[in-house]
Amino acid sequence: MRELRIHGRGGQGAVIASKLLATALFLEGKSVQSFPAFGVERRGAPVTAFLRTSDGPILLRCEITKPDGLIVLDPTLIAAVDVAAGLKDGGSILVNAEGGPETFPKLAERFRVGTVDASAVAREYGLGSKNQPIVNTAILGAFAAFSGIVSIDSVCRAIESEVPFKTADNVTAARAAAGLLRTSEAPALAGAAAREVTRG
Amino acid sequence: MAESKAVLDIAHGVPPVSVSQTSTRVNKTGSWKYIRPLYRDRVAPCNQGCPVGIDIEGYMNLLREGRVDEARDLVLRENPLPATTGRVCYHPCESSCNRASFDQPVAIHAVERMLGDLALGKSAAPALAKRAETVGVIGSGPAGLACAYHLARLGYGVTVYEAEREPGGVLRWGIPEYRLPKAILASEVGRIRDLGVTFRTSTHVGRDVTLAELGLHDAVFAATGVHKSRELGIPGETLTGVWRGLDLLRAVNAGERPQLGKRVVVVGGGNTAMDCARTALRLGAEVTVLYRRSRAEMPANHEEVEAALHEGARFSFLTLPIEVTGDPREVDVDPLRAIEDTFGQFDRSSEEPRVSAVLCARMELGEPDASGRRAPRRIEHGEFRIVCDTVVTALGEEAETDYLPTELHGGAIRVTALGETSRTALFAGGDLLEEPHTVAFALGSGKRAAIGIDHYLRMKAGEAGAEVELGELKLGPEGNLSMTRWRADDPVARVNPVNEVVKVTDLNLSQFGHARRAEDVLRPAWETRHDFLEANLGLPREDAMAEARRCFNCAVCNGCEVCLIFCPDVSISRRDDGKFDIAYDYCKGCGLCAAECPRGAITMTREGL
Amino acid sequence: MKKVIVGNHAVSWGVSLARAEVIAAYPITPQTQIVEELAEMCDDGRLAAKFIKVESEHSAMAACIGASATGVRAFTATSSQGLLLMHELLHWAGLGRLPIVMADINRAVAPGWNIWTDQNDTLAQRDTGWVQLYCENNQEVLDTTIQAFALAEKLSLPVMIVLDAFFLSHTSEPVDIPSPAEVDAFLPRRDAALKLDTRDPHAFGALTTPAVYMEMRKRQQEAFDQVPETLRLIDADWDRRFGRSWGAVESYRTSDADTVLVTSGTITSTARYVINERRERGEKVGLVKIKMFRPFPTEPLRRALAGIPKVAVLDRNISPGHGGIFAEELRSALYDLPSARRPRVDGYVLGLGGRDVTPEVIGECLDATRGNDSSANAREDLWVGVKP
Repeated sequence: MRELRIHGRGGQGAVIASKLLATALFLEGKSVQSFPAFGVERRGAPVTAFLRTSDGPILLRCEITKPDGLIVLDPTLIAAVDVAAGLKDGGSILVNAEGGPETFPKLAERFRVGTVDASAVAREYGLGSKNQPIVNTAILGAFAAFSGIVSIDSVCRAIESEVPFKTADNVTAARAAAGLLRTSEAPALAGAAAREVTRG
Repeated sequence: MAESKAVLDIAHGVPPVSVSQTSTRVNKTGSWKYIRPLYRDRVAPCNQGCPVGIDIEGYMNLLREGRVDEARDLVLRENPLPATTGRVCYHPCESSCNRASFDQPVAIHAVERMLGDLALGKSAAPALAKRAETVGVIGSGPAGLACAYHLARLGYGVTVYEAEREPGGVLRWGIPEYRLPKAILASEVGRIRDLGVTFRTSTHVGRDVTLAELGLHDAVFAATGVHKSRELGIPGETLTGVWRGLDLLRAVNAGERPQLGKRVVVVGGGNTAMDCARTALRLGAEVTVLYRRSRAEMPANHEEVEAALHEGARFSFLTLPIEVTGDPREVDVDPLRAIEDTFGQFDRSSEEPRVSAVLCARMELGEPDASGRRAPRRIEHGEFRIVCDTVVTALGEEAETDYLPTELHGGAIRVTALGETSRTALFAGGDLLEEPHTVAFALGSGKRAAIGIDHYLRMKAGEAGAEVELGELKLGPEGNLSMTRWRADDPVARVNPVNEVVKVTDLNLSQFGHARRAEDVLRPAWETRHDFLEANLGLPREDAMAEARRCFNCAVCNGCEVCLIFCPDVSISRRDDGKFDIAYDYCKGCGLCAAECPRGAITMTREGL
Repeated sequence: MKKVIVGNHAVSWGVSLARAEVIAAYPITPQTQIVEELAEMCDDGRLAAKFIKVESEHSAMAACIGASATGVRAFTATSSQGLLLMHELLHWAGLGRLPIVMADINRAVAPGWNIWTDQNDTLAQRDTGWVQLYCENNQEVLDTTIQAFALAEKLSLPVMIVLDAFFLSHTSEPVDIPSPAEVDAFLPRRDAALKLDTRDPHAFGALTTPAVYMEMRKRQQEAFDQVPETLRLIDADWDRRFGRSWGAVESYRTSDADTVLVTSGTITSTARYVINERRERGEKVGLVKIKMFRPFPTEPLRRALAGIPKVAVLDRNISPGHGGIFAEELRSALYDLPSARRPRVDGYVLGLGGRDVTPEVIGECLDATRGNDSSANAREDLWVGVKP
């Protein structure tokens, strides 16, 4: 079983991203479970969403405190909150950022880091507004390439079934972002552990 | 799921839920009651308050149901000129509106104006049967027009004698274009003409034709109005530059644009004074209105006073003119005047001295006089002078009745409740009577006389008795006569109608929500004061329709179902015609329906009566 | 059709497939996406129901009572304080024998204001004459919603479907949504034996004297007595049609167990994970899930637990001054088992106000009960994970 955490700000689509990723994994025959951080939601405030996926049934119905991987929709969150809290050593982080993984040297010491300029992609395809692009579909495209746990085709099929507005643009954005992924080498010691099934 | 019936089968053993084993129909609780509810349509206060006698509540209800054409036709049954009254009537109906004590009265005038505008170009229902008799109508002001209209719809041949070159009377020659566009009036007069009424214009009864010559008609209705302006009765009144108000309005309504100079003084506090002041503003003058009492006592309509103020008229209250002076030394020598003199634009052909100022006395208010208003008294040594180029007098008007039989000369003419004078077959109405000199009262008096003439001619032809049940014809004990009731062809289904007016305390206001009254769209004063185009644009249609939905529909069941919802005995049921039946076998007479009825359309009556 | 949906929408889908005819709800916190989705379904025509927006939960239940009394299928949803406000009318629906179905999102009651999961809101309605069914996952939520209408209408009893806030309400997971035709075949239109009908007027809920009130109560009790068997048949029918059944009580790996957890709601699912882990280590542990709390499944629980030495009940609720409510009810149900076959019942109060119940927390409870060899029931339930 893998557990993921998605960081965003209210209104950026973090919860939808977890739902889309769950749908994509479900389409590949995996068991899935996704949920927002339990509590109240406010636009602009940091929000988190979660995802469990497994080949077998998922029995756990508790919160996720030690994720295997992270998706960060907004690079400013890295300074604002401890996004890596609880992330297992050797875990992976995908960040929506203009710069490459080398711009996050602290994270790269312990984790495998990937970056993609999902905001630029979202703007290019007219998703959201110029100042507040909605990056969730683009970053999921990059996540498919980054994680290898889900195919880009499944991500696109999930978008087609769940996103009622600008569906084609969102699909194209996801595919475009997959090609723009930049990754760091995984830290030598933890590389294997990152992919290990830890629970279930 | 067959077993589910068994679970709750009350036919066997004890019922599983508290449900009566027998139908509740066996329990005829109606036998308990000593009072019983009765649907009883009464009269809305607006209907009684309308001097024309229009079923206002009726058309508001039709509008609420979206039946716009029927609403329009309902107005046309009583009022020949709704587009006119919607603009110029001072809407006493709104003063009696029950909604006034809830939030604000319904803007009835604006709704009527919408209906009137929808009726423009539409004909009124013609008479079903023609009658042999003809009627002569003297004067084509609102009273004459109303009388002619109603008589034509009753089947009579009608000829209207009008001294002026176009019909309309005060509507055509007195009321300024910016309040009532001539095209609107012409269209409404056209509707009367379409009913077969003949207009003999430029025919002055008494000069061009005598009253005796009108004897060819079977009856005559005199409604020549008031034309003679009251005089100031002070020195200098005959100086050049002193206008009688009606003459000024008439000239402007005839298309003239008289030069009044730069400063105009209007004397008077009534509606004619306001018309004169606003007209003078439009002719480019600075206007000062002199009134001997204070603002509160002004007889002019509030809205007219406000409009005059907004357009820039100044008011000098507690001011009595005591002399108009023409002393050349007091002529205002201003450069513009000199230029006008040079280019001959200013009429100086007359050798008589021209108005140069008004000498005024300052007044104060004393004890109430016969009219109930505080009487003005002169303050000693309070004289002052107002420099001006023109003085317009608007102190009220008197009738010219020389053409009538001598017994009708002098003062207001007395008529019966059906408009008949002391002279058989001669009826009179409008401003000739001792009634408020308004368009609405004139229209109402014309309708009364039409009923009176119809009754007189039918009686003469042996088709009717001498007595008329006036109480049955009035809209409420105090209201005007209803032509619909006279014709007994009400298109509105009435339930046990009684001729009582519903008071606000008879309503259940908790059933209504507050809603702001729609305000007329007014062109800005800085714009209106420079032209004669209509200043008040009324309400957009959707707003007028929404305003109609503000109406409480006082006193008349409109099928709202509040009674049905509240009846604890489920004794009220809706009929196909939208009205309700009460199952008196079960109604306990609790009175909830009457208490909850929003509009006072249910009355509790003694059982057995 | 399988879709990844949240638990709230599993309810909405169930209600829509059940073709509810009247839905009344008060649209304010603590309301949920259940009625939001249903309102949209009514608006866009997917569901031919009358949606009545009312001014309080009390009125929502009143509207459902009125609607149900006329013979139509009525539904509402609420949560925590909203459910508490309905309390008076819950009795009315219960004794009125009206087959209303309601979904309640289990949320803690205030103060302090708390929107997280906790069973006290629904357990406070224990004696109102409603069947209560607690769900473990979103598939069960959807299936139970439809089954609830069948059960309710079969016995003329109102049914409450209960699901944990967030852990189900806001958690997305795949749900197999049956086709309308399949559900129509399972659940025909309601055929009310008794209903308000102006053509044959009867007085409902009128004065009921001591001479008959008790009989009316007895008939209600008899109807509750029929619930276990009726639900079993409905569930079996569902299983035949859709290949899934849930049961009022479920035993999980208990056959040779020395210690058994008793759970309800989503804790059950995490507890299964713990049981699986322990079984791999060779520990003889099992689990009994209580889905149906009212009527209390006394007989099935006796069958499930007789002869098992130790039972640990995990209560996400508290009856102040007494203890965990499931534990107390279970002790009472097992009381007249022969002492040799009667388990010791340990009660654990945990997870109140949405506090996370992790495998570690459940493991602690299991260890505490397994490690205690006393033969007597504990006098007090143990509060788990509470800061000093």
